[in-house]
Amino acid sequence: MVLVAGGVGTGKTTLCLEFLVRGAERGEKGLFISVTEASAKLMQNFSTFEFFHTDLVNNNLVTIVDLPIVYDRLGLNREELKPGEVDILVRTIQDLVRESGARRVVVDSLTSVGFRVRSEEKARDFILKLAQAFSELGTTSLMVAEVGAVPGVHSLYGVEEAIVDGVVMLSNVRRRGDMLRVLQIIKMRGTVHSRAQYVIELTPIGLLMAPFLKGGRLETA
Amino acid sequence: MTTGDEPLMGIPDIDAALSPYLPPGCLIVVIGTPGSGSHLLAKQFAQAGVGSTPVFYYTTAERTIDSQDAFRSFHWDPEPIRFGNLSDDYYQRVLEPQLEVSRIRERGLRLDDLRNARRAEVSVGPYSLVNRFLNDLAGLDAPFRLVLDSLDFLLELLEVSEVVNLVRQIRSRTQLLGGKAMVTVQQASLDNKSSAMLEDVADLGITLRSDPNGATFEHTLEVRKLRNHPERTQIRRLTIDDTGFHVAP
Ligand SMILES: Nc1ncnc2c1ncn2[C@@H]1O[C@H](COP(=O)(O)OP(=O)(O)OP(=O)(O)O)[C@@H](O)[C@H]1O
Ligand SMILES: [Mg+2]
Repeated sequence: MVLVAGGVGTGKTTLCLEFLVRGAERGEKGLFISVTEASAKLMQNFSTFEFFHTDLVNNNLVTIVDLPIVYDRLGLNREELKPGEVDILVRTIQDLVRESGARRVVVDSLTSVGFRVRSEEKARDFILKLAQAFSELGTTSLMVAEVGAVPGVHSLYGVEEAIVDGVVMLSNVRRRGDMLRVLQIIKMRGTVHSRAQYVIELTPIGLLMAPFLKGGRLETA
Repeated sequence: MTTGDEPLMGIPDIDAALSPYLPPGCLIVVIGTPGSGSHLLAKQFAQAGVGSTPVFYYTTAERTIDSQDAFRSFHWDPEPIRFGNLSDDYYQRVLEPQLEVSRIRERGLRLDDLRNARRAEVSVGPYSLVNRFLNDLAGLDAPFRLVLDSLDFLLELLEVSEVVNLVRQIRSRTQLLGGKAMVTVQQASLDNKSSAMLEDVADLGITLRSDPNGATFEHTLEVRKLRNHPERTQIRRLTIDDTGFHVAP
Protein backbone atom coordinates (compact mmCIF):
# COMPACT_ATOMS: atom_id res chain seq x y z
CA MET A 1 0.00 0.00 0.00
CA VAL A 2 1.42 3.29 -1.14
CA LEU A 3 0.32 6.73 -0.13
CA VAL A 4 0.14 9.30 -2.90
CA ALA A 5 0.27 12.56 -1.05
CA GLY A 6 -0.03 15.97 -2.54
CA GLY A 7 -1.82 19.28 -2.79
CA VAL A 8 -4.60 20.22 -5.17
CA GLY A 9 -3.99 19.70 -8.85
CA THR A 10 -0.60 18.09 -8.36
CA GLY A 11 -1.51 15.06 -10.50
CA LYS A 12 -2.51 12.52 -7.84
CA THR A 13 -5.57 11.28 -9.71
CA THR A 14 -3.69 11.06 -12.99
CA LEU A 15 -0.85 9.08 -11.45
CA CYS A 16 -3.31 6.63 -9.91
CA LEU A 17 -5.23 6.20 -13.13
CA GLU A 18 -2.06 5.46 -15.02
CA PHE A 19 -1.12 2.92 -12.38
CA LEU A 20 -4.40 1.08 -13.06
CA VAL A 21 -4.13 1.36 -16.83
CA ARG A 22 -0.54 0.04 -16.92
CA GLY A 23 -1.70 -2.86 -14.75
CA ALA A 24 -4.64 -3.60 -17.02
CA GLU A 25 -2.28 -3.70 -20.01
CA ARG A 26 -0.47 -6.51 -18.22
CA GLY A 27 -3.72 -8.29 -17.45
CA GLU A 28 -4.10 -7.11 -13.87
CA LYS A 29 -7.57 -5.83 -13.17
CA GLY A 30 -7.99 -2.55 -11.35
CA LEU A 31 -10.57 -0.94 -9.07
CA PHE A 32 -10.83 2.83 -8.77
CA ILE A 33 -12.75 3.90 -5.67
CA SER A 34 -13.73 7.47 -6.22
CA VAL A 35 -14.83 9.56 -3.29
CA THR A 36 -14.60 13.13 -4.44
CA GLU A 37 -15.69 12.91 -8.03
CA ALA A 38 -18.67 11.15 -9.61
CA SER A 39 -17.60 8.29 -11.86
CA ALA A 40 -19.29 9.79 -14.91
CA LYS A 41 -17.30 12.99 -14.54
CA LEU A 42 -14.16 10.99 -13.86
CA MET A 43 -14.67 9.01 -17.07
CA GLN A 44 -14.97 12.27 -18.95
CA ASN A 45 -11.70 13.54 -17.54
CA PHE A 46 -10.00 10.21 -18.08
CA SER A 47 -10.98 10.02 -21.73
CA THR A 48 -8.86 13.11 -22.45
CA PHE A 49 -5.79 10.93 -21.84
CA GLU A 50 -4.56 8.91 -24.78
CA PHE A 51 -3.35 6.10 -22.54
CA PHE A 52 -6.89 5.54 -21.27
CA HIS A 53 -9.54 3.73 -23.30
CA THR A 54 -13.17 3.41 -22.28
CA ASP A 55 -12.86 -0.21 -23.41
CA LEU A 56 -10.87 -0.83 -20.25
CA VAL A 57 -13.98 0.00 -18.25
CA ASN A 58 -16.38 -1.70 -20.63
CA ASN A 59 -14.36 -4.91 -20.40
CA ASN A 60 -14.21 -4.66 -16.62
CA LEU A 61 -10.44 -4.38 -16.65
CA VAL A 62 -10.85 -1.15 -14.74
CA THR A 63 -13.88 -0.79 -12.50
CA ILE A 64 -14.85 2.57 -11.12
CA VAL A 65 -16.88 2.69 -7.93
CA ASP A 66 -18.53 5.78 -6.46
CA LEU A 67 -18.04 5.58 -2.75
CA PRO A 68 -20.91 7.99 -1.99
CA ILE A 69 -23.27 5.51 -3.67
CA VAL A 70 -21.81 2.82 -1.47
CA TYR A 71 -22.49 5.00 1.58
CA ASP A 72 -26.01 5.47 0.37
CA ARG A 73 -26.65 1.77 -0.23
CA LEU A 74 -25.27 0.91 3.18
CA GLY A 75 -27.28 3.63 4.89
CA LEU A 76 -24.13 5.41 5.98
CA ASN A 77 -25.44 8.81 5.02
CA ARG A 78 -26.14 10.09 8.47
CA GLU A 79 -24.06 12.76 10.11
CA GLU A 80 -21.80 10.47 12.05
CA LEU A 81 -20.99 6.79 11.63
CA LYS A 82 -22.13 4.51 14.40
CA PRO A 83 -19.75 2.10 16.07
CA GLY A 84 -19.39 -0.92 13.83
CA GLU A 85 -20.20 0.97 10.66
CA VAL A 86 -16.52 1.51 9.95
CA ASP A 87 -16.24 -2.28 9.85
CA ILE A 88 -19.20 -2.55 7.51
CA LEU A 89 -17.58 -0.04 5.18
CA VAL A 90 -14.23 -1.83 5.17
CA ARG A 91 -15.84 -5.24 4.71
CA THR A 92 -17.86 -3.88 1.80
CA ILE A 93 -14.80 -2.44 0.09
CA GLN A 94 -13.12 -5.80 0.57
CA ASP A 95 -16.13 -7.54 -1.02
CA LEU A 96 -16.06 -5.18 -3.98
CA VAL A 97 -12.34 -5.72 -4.54
CA ARG A 98 -12.90 -9.47 -4.45
CA GLU A 99 -15.89 -9.36 -6.78
CA SER A 100 -14.12 -7.16 -9.32
CA GLY A 101 -11.08 -9.44 -9.25
CA ALA A 102 -8.86 -6.40 -8.91
CA ARG A 103 -5.16 -6.81 -8.20
CA ARG A 104 -4.63 -3.04 -8.12
CA VAL A 105 -6.78 -0.67 -6.12
CA VAL A 106 -6.95 3.10 -5.87
CA VAL A 107 -8.76 5.08 -3.22
CA ASP A 108 -9.10 8.73 -4.25
CA SER A 109 -9.02 10.01 -1.68
CA LEU A 110 -8.44 8.67 1.76
CA THR A 111 -8.73 12.18 3.09
CA SER A 112 -12.32 12.47 1.87
CA VAL A 113 -13.28 9.18 3.47
CA GLY A 114 -11.75 10.53 6.64
CA PHE A 115 -13.97 13.58 6.50
CA ARG A 116 -17.01 11.38 6.01
CA VAL A 117 -16.06 9.18 8.92
CA ARG A 118 -15.87 12.37 10.98
CA SER A 119 -13.87 11.77 14.10
CA GLU A 120 -10.11 11.40 13.75
CA GLU A 121 -10.22 8.33 15.87
CA LYS A 122 -12.64 6.60 13.50
CA ALA A 123 -10.62 7.79 10.50
CA ARG A 124 -7.52 6.14 11.94
CA ASP A 125 -9.51 3.03 12.71
CA PHE A 126 -10.76 2.98 9.12
CA ILE A 127 -7.31 3.42 7.61
CA LEU A 128 -5.78 0.70 9.77
CA LYS A 129 -8.58 -1.74 8.97
CA LEU A 130 -8.50 -0.92 5.28
CA ALA A 131 -4.75 -1.52 5.17
CA GLN A 132 -5.31 -4.83 6.92
CA ALA A 133 -8.05 -5.78 4.43
CA PHE A 134 -5.90 -4.92 1.42
CA SER A 135 -2.99 -6.86 2.78
CA GLU A 136 -5.25 -9.91 3.24
CA LEU A 137 -6.40 -9.53 -0.35
CA GLY A 138 -2.83 -9.21 -1.54
CA THR A 139 -3.60 -6.20 -3.71
CA THR A 140 -1.28 -3.37 -4.55
CA SER A 141 -3.02 -0.18 -3.66
CA LEU A 142 -2.55 3.55 -3.98
CA MET A 143 -4.19 5.75 -1.39
CA VAL A 144 -4.51 9.40 -2.25
CA ALA A 145 -3.92 11.83 0.60
CA GLU A 146 -4.79 15.45 0.05
CA VAL A 147 -2.27 17.31 2.08
CA GLY A 148 -1.40 20.94 2.25
CA ALA A 149 1.92 22.57 1.60
CA VAL A 150 3.42 21.85 5.00
CA PRO A 151 6.84 20.31 4.29
CA GLY A 152 7.34 16.91 5.80
CA VAL A 153 3.67 16.29 6.49
CA HIS A 154 2.30 13.56 4.27
CA SER A 155 -0.77 12.52 6.16
CA LEU A 156 -3.67 14.00 8.01
CA TYR A 157 -4.25 11.42 10.66
CA GLY A 158 -0.68 10.62 11.53
CA VAL A 159 -1.07 6.91 10.95
CA GLU A 160 -1.03 6.70 7.18
CA GLU A 161 2.68 7.26 6.78
CA ALA A 162 3.53 4.72 9.39
CA ILE A 163 1.39 1.86 8.10
CA VAL A 164 1.93 2.22 4.37
CA ASP A 165 4.80 0.62 2.53
CA GLY A 166 5.61 3.71 0.61
CA VAL A 167 4.95 7.40 0.33
CA VAL A 168 5.07 9.30 -2.94
CA MET A 169 4.85 13.02 -2.59
CA LEU A 170 3.56 15.21 -5.39
CA SER A 171 3.92 18.96 -5.18
CA ASN A 172 3.98 22.14 -7.11
CA VAL A 173 7.25 23.98 -7.05
CA ARG A 174 7.73 27.50 -8.21
CA ARG A 175 10.85 27.97 -10.24
CA ARG A 176 11.59 31.33 -11.84
CA GLY A 177 7.94 32.15 -12.30
CA ASP A 178 7.01 28.69 -13.59
CA MET A 179 5.02 26.14 -11.69
CA LEU A 180 6.60 22.72 -11.91
CA ARG A 181 5.05 19.49 -10.81
CA VAL A 182 7.46 17.56 -8.68
CA LEU A 183 7.43 13.93 -7.56
CA GLN A 184 9.52 12.60 -4.71
CA ILE A 185 9.65 9.17 -3.20
CA ILE A 186 9.73 9.72 0.53
CA LYS A 187 9.85 6.09 1.51
CA MET A 188 9.52 2.69 -0.09
CA ARG A 189 9.94 -0.37 2.08
CA GLY A 190 12.22 -3.10 0.86
CA THR A 191 13.85 -1.23 -1.98
CA VAL A 192 16.69 1.11 -2.42
CA HIS A 193 15.24 4.18 -4.03
CA SER A 194 16.28 7.59 -5.05
CA ARG A 195 15.23 10.32 -2.70
CA ALA A 196 15.71 12.90 -5.40
CA GLN A 197 12.90 15.05 -6.70
CA TYR A 198 11.71 14.47 -10.23
CA VAL A 199 9.97 16.96 -12.39
CA ILE A 200 6.88 15.40 -13.86
CA GLU A 201 4.74 16.43 -16.71
CA LEU A 202 1.16 15.33 -17.14
CA THR A 203 0.77 14.62 -20.82
CA PRO A 204 -1.94 12.97 -22.87
CA ILE A 205 0.26 9.90 -23.18
CA GLY A 206 0.84 9.72 -19.46
CA LEU A 207 3.14 10.95 -16.81
CA LEU A 208 6.64 11.87 -17.94
CA MET A 209 9.44 12.17 -15.48
CA ALA A 210 12.76 14.00 -15.58
CA PRO A 211 15.31 14.63 -12.86
CA PHE A 212 14.79 17.90 -11.09
CA LEU A 213 17.94 19.83 -11.80
CA LYS A 214 19.18 22.33 -9.35
CA GLY A 215 20.31 25.77 -10.31
CA GLY A 216 17.80 26.70 -12.94
CA ARG A 217 19.35 24.90 -15.89
CA LEU A 218 15.85 23.91 -16.84
CA GLU A 219 15.37 27.31 -18.32
CA THR A 220 18.34 27.26 -20.62
CA ALA A 221 16.28 26.11 -23.60
CA MET B 1 -72.94 28.31 9.19
CA THR B 2 -70.38 30.90 10.24
CA THR B 3 -67.17 30.19 12.02
CA GLY B 4 -68.68 31.83 15.09
CA ASP B 5 -71.16 29.10 15.82
CA GLU B 6 -69.52 26.04 14.28
CA PRO B 7 -69.47 23.03 16.59
CA LEU B 8 -66.33 22.54 18.60
CA MET B 9 -65.98 18.77 18.75
CA GLY B 10 -69.32 17.54 17.52
CA ILE B 11 -70.41 16.41 21.00
CA PRO B 12 -73.23 18.95 21.59
CA ASP B 13 -73.27 18.94 25.41
CA ILE B 14 -69.54 19.35 25.66
CA ASP B 15 -69.40 21.92 22.89
CA ALA B 16 -72.01 24.00 24.65
CA ALA B 17 -70.11 23.81 27.92
CA LEU B 18 -66.74 24.82 26.47
CA SER B 19 -67.25 26.90 23.31
CA PRO B 20 -68.12 30.17 25.09
CA TYR B 21 -64.78 30.09 26.86
CA LEU B 22 -62.56 29.43 23.87
CA PRO B 23 -61.17 32.01 21.44
CA PRO B 24 -61.94 31.64 17.69
CA GLY B 25 -58.47 30.23 17.13
CA CYS B 26 -57.51 27.47 19.51
CA LEU B 27 -55.50 24.31 19.95
CA ILE B 28 -56.87 21.16 21.55
CA VAL B 29 -54.48 18.54 22.87
CA VAL B 30 -56.05 15.12 23.40
CA ILE B 31 -54.13 12.63 25.50
CA GLY B 32 -55.57 9.15 25.16
CA THR B 33 -55.18 5.80 26.83
CA PRO B 34 -55.32 2.64 24.67
CA GLY B 35 -58.82 1.94 23.39
CA SER B 36 -60.13 5.29 24.58
CA GLY B 37 -61.11 6.38 21.06
CA SER B 38 -58.76 9.26 20.43
CA HIS B 39 -58.75 8.44 16.70
CA LEU B 40 -62.55 8.55 16.77
CA LEU B 41 -62.63 11.84 18.63
CA ALA B 42 -60.16 13.22 16.09
CA LYS B 43 -62.52 12.25 13.27
CA GLN B 44 -65.59 13.57 15.03
CA PHE B 45 -63.79 16.88 15.53
CA ALA B 46 -62.82 16.96 11.84
CA GLN B 47 -66.36 16.13 10.77
CA ALA B 48 -67.73 18.92 12.99
CA GLY B 49 -65.88 21.48 10.89
CA VAL B 50 -67.19 20.31 7.52
CA GLY B 51 -69.31 23.02 5.94
CA SER B 52 -67.74 25.85 7.94
CA THR B 53 -64.06 25.80 7.04
CA PRO B 54 -61.63 23.73 5.02
CA VAL B 55 -60.75 20.61 7.03
CA PHE B 56 -57.35 18.93 7.00
CA TYR B 57 -56.79 15.53 8.48
CA TYR B 58 -53.20 14.41 8.95
CA THR B 59 -52.80 10.88 10.09
CA THR B 60 -49.71 8.98 11.04
CA ALA B 61 -51.62 6.12 12.59
CA GLU B 62 -53.44 4.51 9.69
CA ARG B 63 -53.59 4.36 5.93
CA THR B 64 -55.63 7.09 4.27
CA ILE B 65 -58.21 4.65 2.92
CA ASP B 66 -58.68 3.15 6.38
CA SER B 67 -59.28 6.62 7.79
CA GLN B 68 -61.82 7.32 5.08
CA ASP B 69 -63.59 4.03 5.75
CA ALA B 70 -63.73 4.86 9.43
CA PHE B 71 -65.40 8.19 8.60
CA ARG B 72 -67.98 6.38 6.50
CA SER B 73 -68.71 3.83 9.20
CA PHE B 74 -69.97 6.72 11.36
CA HIS B 75 -72.00 8.07 8.44
CA TRP B 76 -69.62 10.97 7.93
CA ASP B 77 -68.68 11.84 4.39
CA PRO B 78 -64.87 11.99 4.04
CA GLU B 79 -65.16 13.65 0.61
CA PRO B 80 -64.83 17.30 1.75
CA ILE B 81 -61.90 16.49 4.03
CA ARG B 82 -58.36 16.82 2.78
CA PHE B 83 -56.17 14.00 3.96
CA GLY B 84 -52.45 14.11 4.49
CA ASN B 85 -50.75 10.89 5.35
CA LEU B 86 -47.44 11.26 7.09
CA SER B 87 -47.02 7.56 7.76
CA ASP B 88 -47.27 6.47 4.09
CA ASP B 89 -44.68 9.08 3.42
CA TYR B 90 -42.57 7.89 6.27
CA TYR B 91 -42.86 4.32 5.12
CA GLN B 92 -41.83 5.10 1.57
CA ARG B 93 -39.11 7.56 2.33
CA VAL B 94 -37.60 6.24 5.53
CA LEU B 95 -38.65 2.73 6.45
CA GLU B 96 -38.45 1.17 3.00
CA PRO B 97 -34.93 2.45 2.32
CA GLN B 98 -33.95 1.29 5.81
CA LEU B 99 -35.20 -2.20 5.04
CA GLU B 100 -33.23 -2.17 1.82
CA VAL B 101 -30.15 -1.06 3.70
CA SER B 102 -30.36 -3.88 6.22
CA ARG B 103 -30.96 -6.36 3.41
CA ILE B 104 -27.82 -5.17 1.64
CA ARG B 105 -25.78 -5.09 4.83
CA GLU B 106 -26.88 -8.63 5.51
CA ARG B 107 -25.96 -10.14 2.18
CA GLY B 108 -23.11 -7.80 1.25
CA LEU B 109 -22.95 -5.13 -1.41
CA ARG B 110 -22.31 -6.17 -5.02
CA LEU B 111 -21.04 -4.17 -7.96
CA ASP B 112 -24.45 -4.58 -9.57
CA ASP B 113 -26.04 -2.66 -6.71
CA LEU B 114 -23.93 0.30 -7.70
CA ARG B 115 -24.63 0.31 -11.42
CA ASN B 116 -27.27 2.74 -12.63
CA ALA B 117 -27.33 4.31 -9.21
CA ARG B 118 -27.11 8.02 -8.76
CA ARG B 119 -25.40 9.79 -5.95
CA ALA B 120 -28.01 10.69 -3.38
CA GLU B 121 -27.74 14.38 -2.72
CA VAL B 122 -29.85 14.60 0.41
CA SER B 123 -30.73 12.03 2.97
CA VAL B 124 -34.37 11.83 3.97
CA GLY B 125 -35.15 11.97 7.62
CA PRO B 126 -37.99 12.85 9.90
CA TYR B 127 -37.33 16.49 9.24
CA SER B 128 -38.54 16.27 5.68
CA LEU B 129 -41.89 14.99 6.96
CA VAL B 130 -42.20 17.76 9.49
CA ASN B 131 -41.11 20.29 6.90
CA ARG B 132 -43.78 19.06 4.55
CA PHE B 133 -46.37 19.42 7.24
CA LEU B 134 -45.17 22.90 8.18
CA ASN B 135 -45.19 23.87 4.52
CA ASP B 136 -48.84 22.87 4.26
CA LEU B 137 -49.55 24.78 7.42
CA ALA B 138 -47.81 27.89 6.16
CA GLY B 139 -49.86 27.67 2.96
CA LEU B 140 -53.16 28.16 4.84
CA ASP B 141 -54.50 31.68 4.65
CA ALA B 142 -58.06 31.53 5.98
CA PRO B 143 -59.81 29.97 8.96
CA PHE B 144 -59.28 26.22 8.92
CA ARG B 145 -59.71 23.09 10.95
CA LEU B 146 -56.81 20.75 11.28
CA VAL B 147 -56.23 17.39 12.92
CA LEU B 148 -52.88 15.77 13.54
CA ASP B 149 -53.56 12.20 14.65
CA SER B 150 -51.21 11.42 16.25
CA LEU B 151 -47.97 12.76 17.68
CA ASP B 152 -46.82 9.33 18.84
CA PHE B 153 -44.99 8.57 15.69
CA LEU B 154 -43.23 11.93 15.63
CA LEU B 155 -42.19 11.40 19.24
CA GLU B 156 -40.40 8.25 18.15
CA LEU B 157 -38.36 10.20 15.64
CA LEU B 158 -37.77 13.57 17.20
CA GLU B 159 -36.82 15.14 20.49
CA VAL B 160 -39.80 16.05 22.66
CA SER B 161 -38.85 19.69 22.45
CA GLU B 162 -38.99 19.52 18.66
CA VAL B 163 -42.44 17.98 18.75
CA VAL B 164 -43.65 20.58 21.23
CA ASN B 165 -42.22 23.23 18.97
CA LEU B 166 -44.21 21.83 16.07
CA VAL B 167 -47.38 21.92 18.17
CA ARG B 168 -46.58 25.49 19.12
CA GLN B 169 -46.37 26.40 15.45
CA ILE B 170 -49.76 24.85 14.86
CA ARG B 171 -51.20 26.89 17.69
CA SER B 172 -49.75 30.16 16.47
CA ARG B 173 -51.27 29.45 13.06
CA THR B 174 -54.69 28.87 14.61
CA GLN B 175 -54.43 32.16 16.47
CA LEU B 176 -53.34 34.06 13.41
CA LEU B 177 -56.00 32.75 11.04
CA GLY B 178 -58.76 31.71 13.41
CA GLY B 179 -58.36 28.00 13.04
CA LYS B 180 -59.19 25.08 15.25
CA ALA B 181 -56.59 22.39 15.60
CA MET B 182 -56.55 19.10 17.44
CA VAL B 183 -53.48 16.99 18.08
CA THR B 184 -53.72 13.60 19.71
CA VAL B 185 -51.14 11.57 21.56
CA GLN B 186 -51.09 8.35 23.56
CA GLN B 187 -50.40 8.79 27.23
CA ALA B 188 -47.84 6.00 27.01
CA SER B 189 -45.73 8.06 24.60
CA LEU B 190 -45.29 10.79 27.18
CA ASP B 191 -43.46 11.14 30.43
CA ASN B 192 -44.68 13.63 33.02
CA LYS B 193 -42.51 16.39 31.75
CA SER B 194 -43.50 16.07 28.11
CA SER B 195 -47.21 15.86 28.88
CA ALA B 196 -46.84 19.00 31.00
CA MET B 197 -45.08 20.72 28.10
CA LEU B 198 -47.83 19.74 25.69
CA GLU B 199 -50.68 20.73 27.99
CA ASP B 200 -48.97 24.02 28.54
CA VAL B 201 -49.27 24.83 24.83
CA ALA B 202 -52.91 23.72 24.67
CA ASP B 203 -55.89 26.03 24.97
CA LEU B 204 -57.97 23.01 25.77
CA GLY B 205 -56.40 19.93 27.32
CA ILE B 206 -58.42 16.74 27.19
CA THR B 207 -57.69 13.29 28.51
CA LEU B 208 -59.70 10.38 27.11
CA ARG B 209 -59.95 7.21 29.13
CA SER B 210 -61.44 3.80 28.77
CA ASP B 211 -61.72 1.79 31.97
CA PRO B 212 -63.27 -1.64 32.50
CA ASN B 213 -66.59 -1.51 34.32
CA GLY B 214 -68.17 -4.91 34.75
CA ALA B 215 -68.54 -6.49 31.33
CA THR B 216 -68.05 -3.24 29.40
CA PHE B 217 -65.71 -0.29 29.21
CA GLU B 218 -66.54 3.08 30.55
CA HIS B 219 -65.39 6.00 28.45
CA THR B 220 -64.61 9.25 30.14
CA LEU B 221 -63.53 12.61 28.84
CA GLU B 222 -61.65 14.80 31.27
CA VAL B 223 -61.36 18.49 30.56
CA ARG B 224 -58.13 18.96 32.42
CA LYS B 225 -57.32 22.39 31.20
CA LEU B 226 -59.23 25.28 29.69
CA ARG B 227 -56.98 28.28 29.30
CA ASN B 228 -57.94 31.11 31.67
CA HIS B 229 -60.91 29.10 32.97
CA PRO B 230 -59.69 26.67 35.56
CA GLU B 231 -63.21 26.56 36.96
CA ARG B 232 -64.39 24.81 33.77
CA THR B 233 -62.38 21.64 34.24
CA GLN B 234 -64.75 18.69 34.37
CA ILE B 235 -65.14 14.98 33.83
CA ARG B 236 -67.90 13.62 31.56
CA ARG B 237 -68.90 10.07 30.91
CA LEU B 238 -69.31 9.23 27.22
CA THR B 239 -71.11 6.65 25.17
CA ILE B 240 -70.27 5.59 21.64
CA ASP B 241 -72.75 4.64 18.94
CA ASP B 242 -72.65 4.62 15.17
CA THR B 243 -72.78 8.40 15.08
CA GLY B 244 -69.79 8.87 17.35
CA PHE B 245 -69.31 10.03 20.93
CA HIS B 246 -72.19 11.37 23.05
CA VAL B 247 -72.38 12.51 26.63
CA ALA B 248 -73.91 9.69 28.65
CA PRO B 249 -77.39 10.47 29.95
N1 LIG C 1 -5.53 15.21 -21.00
C1 LIG C 1 -4.61 15.86 -20.26
N2 LIG C 1 -3.40 16.03 -20.71
C2 LIG C 1 -2.47 16.65 -19.99
N3 LIG C 1 -2.68 17.17 -18.77
C3 LIG C 1 -3.91 17.01 -18.25
C4 LIG C 1 -4.93 16.36 -18.95
N4 LIG C 1 -6.03 16.36 -18.18
C5 LIG C 1 -5.69 17.00 -17.04
N5 LIG C 1 -4.43 17.39 -17.07
C6 LIG C 1 -3.72 18.13 -16.01
O1 LIG C 1 -3.81 17.40 -14.80
C7 LIG C 1 -4.08 18.31 -13.76
C8 LIG C 1 -4.91 17.69 -12.67
O2 LIG C 1 -4.33 16.49 -12.34
P1 LIG C 1 -5.04 15.56 -11.31
O3 LIG C 1 -6.51 15.64 -11.42
O4 LIG C 1 -4.40 14.23 -11.45
O5 LIG C 1 -4.58 16.24 -9.95
P2 LIG C 1 -5.06 15.91 -8.52
O6 LIG C 1 -3.86 16.05 -7.64
O7 LIG C 1 -5.80 14.66 -8.51
O8 LIG C 1 -6.00 17.13 -8.31
P3 LIG C 1 -7.17 17.29 -7.21
O9 LIG C 1 -6.48 17.79 -6.02
O10 LIG C 1 -8.03 18.31 -7.86
O11 LIG C 1 -7.79 15.97 -7.07
C9 LIG C 1 -4.88 19.38 -14.40
O12 LIG C 1 -4.69 20.58 -13.71
C10 LIG C 1 -4.33 19.45 -15.80
O13 LIG C 1 -3.32 20.43 -15.82
MG1 LIG D 1 -7.81 14.20 -7.87
